[in-house]
Amino acid sequence: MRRSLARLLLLFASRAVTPLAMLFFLLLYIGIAFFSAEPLTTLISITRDYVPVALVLALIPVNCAFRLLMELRTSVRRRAVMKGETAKSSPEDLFAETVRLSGTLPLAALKERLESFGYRIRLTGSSLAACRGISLLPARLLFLVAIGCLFTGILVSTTTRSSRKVAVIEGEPFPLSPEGHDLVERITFADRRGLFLEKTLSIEVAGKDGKKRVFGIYPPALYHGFFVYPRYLGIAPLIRFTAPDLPAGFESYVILMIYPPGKEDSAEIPGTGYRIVFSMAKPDVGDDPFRSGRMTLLFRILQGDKPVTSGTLAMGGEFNGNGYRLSSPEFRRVVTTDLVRDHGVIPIWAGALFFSAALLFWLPVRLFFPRREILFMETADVVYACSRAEGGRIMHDGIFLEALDFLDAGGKIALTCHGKTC
Amino acid sequence: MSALKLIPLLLAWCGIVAALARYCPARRTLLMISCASSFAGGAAGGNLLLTIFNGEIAYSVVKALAGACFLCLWVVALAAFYRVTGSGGQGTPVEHEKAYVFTATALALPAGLLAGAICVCRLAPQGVAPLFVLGVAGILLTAVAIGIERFVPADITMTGEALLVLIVSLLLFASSFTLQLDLFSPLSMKVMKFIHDFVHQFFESMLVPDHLFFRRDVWEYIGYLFGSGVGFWGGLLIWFAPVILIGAAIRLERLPSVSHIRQGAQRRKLLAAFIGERRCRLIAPCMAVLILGAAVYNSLFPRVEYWDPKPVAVVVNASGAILIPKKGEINLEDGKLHKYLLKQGGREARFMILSTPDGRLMVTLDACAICKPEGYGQAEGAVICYYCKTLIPLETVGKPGGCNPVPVPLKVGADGVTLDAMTILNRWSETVTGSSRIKGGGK
Amino acid sequence: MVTDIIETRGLTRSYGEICALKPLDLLVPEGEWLSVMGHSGSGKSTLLNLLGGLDRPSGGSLQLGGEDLMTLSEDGLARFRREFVGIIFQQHHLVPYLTALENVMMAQYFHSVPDEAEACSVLERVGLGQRLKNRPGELSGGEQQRVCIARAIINSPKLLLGDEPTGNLDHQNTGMVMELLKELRSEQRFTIILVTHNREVAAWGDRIISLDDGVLVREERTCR
Repeated sequence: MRRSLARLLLLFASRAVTPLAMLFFLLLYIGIAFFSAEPLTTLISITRDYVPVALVLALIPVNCAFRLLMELRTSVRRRAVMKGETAKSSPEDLFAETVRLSGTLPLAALKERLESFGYRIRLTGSSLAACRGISLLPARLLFLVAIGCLFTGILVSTTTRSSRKVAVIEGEPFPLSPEGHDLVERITFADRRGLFLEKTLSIEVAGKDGKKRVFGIYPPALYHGFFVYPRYLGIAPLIRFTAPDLPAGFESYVILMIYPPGKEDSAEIPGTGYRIVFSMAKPDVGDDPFRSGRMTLLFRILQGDKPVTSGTLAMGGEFNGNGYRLSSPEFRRVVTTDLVRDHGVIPIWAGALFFSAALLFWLPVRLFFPRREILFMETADVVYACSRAEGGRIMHDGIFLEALDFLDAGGKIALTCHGKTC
Repeated sequence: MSALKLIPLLLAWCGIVAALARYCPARRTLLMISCASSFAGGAAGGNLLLTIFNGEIAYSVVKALAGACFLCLWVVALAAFYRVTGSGGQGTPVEHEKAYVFTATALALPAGLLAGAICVCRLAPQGVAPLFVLGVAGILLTAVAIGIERFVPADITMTGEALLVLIVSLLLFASSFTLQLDLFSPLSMKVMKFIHDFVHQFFESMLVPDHLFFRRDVWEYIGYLFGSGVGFWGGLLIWFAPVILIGAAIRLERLPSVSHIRQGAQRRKLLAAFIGERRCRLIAPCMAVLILGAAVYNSLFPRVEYWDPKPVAVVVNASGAILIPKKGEINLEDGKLHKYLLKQGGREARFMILSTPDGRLMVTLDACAICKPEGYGQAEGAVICYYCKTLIPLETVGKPGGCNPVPVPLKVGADGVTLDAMTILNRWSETVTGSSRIKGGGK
Repeated sequence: MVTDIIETRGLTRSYGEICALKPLDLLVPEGEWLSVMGHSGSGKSTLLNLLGGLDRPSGGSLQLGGEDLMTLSEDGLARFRREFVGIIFQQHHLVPYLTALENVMMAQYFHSVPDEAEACSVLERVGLGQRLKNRPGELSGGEQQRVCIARAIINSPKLLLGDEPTGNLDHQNTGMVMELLKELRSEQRFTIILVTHNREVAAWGDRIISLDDGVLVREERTCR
């Protein structure tokens, strides 16, 4: 039972798990690409809908967790051995290279030699540990945590994300507000030059108790567990329309997502067959129509598919022509917003932060202060000489070999076996 | 003329055989038989495919096999790199002679089959192939290549991975001479599509604001991710990555342990011998880089002349219709692409008329719903989108979707074709606006 | 059993009509220190060049370490020189812009691969552990010669050749260099052939041969 458990643990901690899982998704993606014009979306849907596929994705963070534990365990064992605590088993699996010697170690002379090469020495009764540099273990752990967070976030996001597209309109209750208590007071669109953004959007919402909340652009705000994600801007003008065959006319607010200027949207006049296509006229330089409220609408009136008339309509003005009358005395600002419930966003961003931290640690340490270790350890029947280097290997290996030459030249110690096959 | 077309492909086949002979010099006779028979088999199989099925299916099968080889190469390259960079960093496992023979034979058979099929496809887009001559040439060249290999310096050795990368690169090089078998162009398009979808998905998932709010200069940089350049460079990265990984795996192999040798000069001699031998093993991946580069060049600059006539201006009559006669200065039923330019009310649109192989006249826009409207040209049996280099068989022109040109409704009369100008203009506006979203047009 | 590391039969070298070395039969056992004496133009440097593979004989046979040098190609001769022979010259020929350590590592580089730790160790052995980073111009004559010795022995040659290595040194440094050579020979067991015109220096060897006009005229054992 224990052996099976150990084997299972080794399997989960295997380096091959993550690349094999990624290979699975790559092959799946390639297969989907032959049959679908939207392979990525399809792949995401398949992951969401089929548990086995999601389980394959889940293998990655599980693998990271197990590998993290294994590496911590190895590191702790190695530290114990370097501190001079007797190894329960041979230290060969903890180091890159191991040589077995017989004889007595001249510890003091060895210490002097290795110190001359800049190593810090720890001497115990039966062992000498030499090291220099900083271990890359923190970077390694951060990296594994980053991968784990990233794929956990992807898994959670893929399988549990829900999103609703709603229109947030000035003067109307905020969508999903309980009993409509939260009212959208104002939508403001302003310039604000930052590192990436040059415009900002604020949706001011007043609650029943008079408390105000402002939902911005980034980072997205949370509203009852939903991220508020503004997408597109538009207007809801009050449209008054009469036609020769519609003398009674039509009056209503219509939602038109026609910002930025040039974008078209249309409004159906219900029960009449009329459709009016609107767009915003491009303003003079420096005068943003959405911000200022001063805008001119370009329109085409269609009856069925046939255009019957077209023209321009200034906000607050009126158009009269060919028997058709169109006016818009006022408008409200509209933001098409996604309300997103997704618990995977934060782990993904956390993963990115961990990556950055891992890289910031790894690069300078690997370049300038790589960890190098040499251990000479006497046991009852054999002397182990072990070496490992996380960088600067060539020089370090030369020093290790030179130390072995020194021991050999002293005549007190001899090689009996080397390598992992002993 | 046919022989000239085949020269580079047969040279590639010689290279494959020579590489196999270098990898497994012990059993040249067995290798020669395997290579010669598989090449002949591949040529026969390719010819059978072309005869039984139409060209599109035959080419798709051969292309899919070449793609599968490339995918296998990727898996092997990643495994090799992973093995070397793991803790311990073991190098290439020591192989015994039987393993060499097995590997060489296992690679020779599919390589020969595919090489033969590729040669037949190159020769015979119309389904006719001087099969016998090709088979004999392939067999003779197999023997020649094995003979020539003896003169290559003995220092140049290769691992199993390097052999695979050389074989696959030569096969991809051979297939790059046939437009329908080219893998690089569709790869870059798929990469472009993937990056496009991924960036969209990333923005949506990470709740990143829309382009309205971004700084113009920042959005321009983001816009590069939606351009064809990213597909090209991404495709290039994927194309060369396996050979770079295998080269890195060879280069990063740990030096042999010398801690059992007490004399410094002897240790260094051993290490120097290993380093020298490792350098020689890098020759094969370096050659593969050059060969893959040549394949990319063939893909970017194919030796194919596209028929692309200058658009002729059309006139709209009082009722808003366009009348194009079937015969006259331009014969619409000659099987060639004919392009027209419509200008009205400050708007313009390009469209084309084509007679499909079954004799039907089709009218489409000179643009598709996905790509930037760079237009189409006519190649052998297909039209090609200049932007994404996708080949659309003539039989499918007129059907909507994918990279097919957007169809336009028409009325075919005895004298000619009647089209509605407003429909063409509106459809062009919708198509061009829709495809311009690819370059920073918003989500 | 002691084998002969050098065996020549009828070894000659001529430059046109001038015969620099007349037919010479010579046996040198492994581990011996042979001193070669003679006045200028006696042929001792010619003999040294032939033994070091730096020149090809005009006639006769020359076997070094069991290898027949007459049959070696240029590449083979170069390999032989790299692996079998170390040479110390009177003029040092150290690279002036490289440090002592780098000069020794350069010898390693041309042999196989450089190893800084090993080079440091050898320089320490010859007493220059504190002068690793100094360039030849910053070293005394004796120190420079010791760098040459380190460079010559770094690749564990079987045969060490010295062409007037103490020619430019004072008496004290000469003694130090000779003492060092003696210690190194007993540690590493190489054979030394030393060319000198100085009787005192020649007396450090096990055997002295004298050449005159390319002919071996005298051979004597020393007391060491």
